[in-house]
Amino acid sequence: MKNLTLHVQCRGWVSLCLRILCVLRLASCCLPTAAQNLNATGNLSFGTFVATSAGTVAVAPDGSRAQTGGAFVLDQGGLAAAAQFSVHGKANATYAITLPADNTVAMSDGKGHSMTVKAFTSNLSGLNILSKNGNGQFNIGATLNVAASQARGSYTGTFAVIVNYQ
Amino acid sequence: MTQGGRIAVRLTSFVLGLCLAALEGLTLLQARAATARVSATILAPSPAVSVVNSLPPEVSATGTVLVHMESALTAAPEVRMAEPVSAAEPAVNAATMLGSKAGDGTLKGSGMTAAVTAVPSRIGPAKAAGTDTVRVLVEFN
Repeated sequence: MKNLTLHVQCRGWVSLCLRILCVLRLASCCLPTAAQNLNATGNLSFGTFVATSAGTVAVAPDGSRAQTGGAFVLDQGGLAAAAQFSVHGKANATYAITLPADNTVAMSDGKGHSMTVKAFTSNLSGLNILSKNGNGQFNIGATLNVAASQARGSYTGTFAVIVNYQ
Repeated sequence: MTQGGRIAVRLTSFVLGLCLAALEGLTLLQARAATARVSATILAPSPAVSVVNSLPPEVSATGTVLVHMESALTAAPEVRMAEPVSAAEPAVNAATMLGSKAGDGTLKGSGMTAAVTAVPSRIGPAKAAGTDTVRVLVEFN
């Protein structure tokens, strides 16, 4: 009888410990100890160019611009710029970013014409570490597909970047 | 403890284990997304500016390129013949950077033909006689 009582009591302690663990884990999940944020602080701009035939315009993460084919970049008008993002989270936390897949981001002039964007690149690689203050930042560039006889005008669109905190 | 009680305890432990694992996973894989704007501006329609003759075959020579601007551009009264940017054909790639230009003008109602002096800044290998085309850009002020 004694053995049976002890056995039941042990089961009771194990169950209690499990409950405490659950409560602690729930608290750690539901009550964030440090905010984790990702904000776009600068937009991606391919600047101004003329299109004499099909080609591409690429903006690197450092903001430099390159052209291929019948797209010729001009220095007048809006300047080219890489997109900028700021990250905030726990100090020294590691994170990775996920960029849009090729040709899943489209830009439109609002008049039925569009261009797609491919080859999103960043100045990060693999896992990255937030500073001791929990801050980080990165830039993103991409390549714009310009079709033959692409209509002139101002094209705009949006793209999303995902940060995975490890 | 009865057999049913033991099974119930084991089942409860299993479910609790699953819950803990799931919560642990939620903690490890927290993701945030942000959206940025992307933009571009295409200035001139491609047929508006066309090269109507060609560079001489000797890529090291100074040649003249005629640029015809169609009347569709009359909306831009001030036109500056800007730096010719590059040659389009692979045959003149060795001399694609044109070092100088000349020509200024104002568009008339029927368009305008202007001469641009094109001087290759890099000397390519001697080429057989023939013509090469060069793409010239016109910037609008």
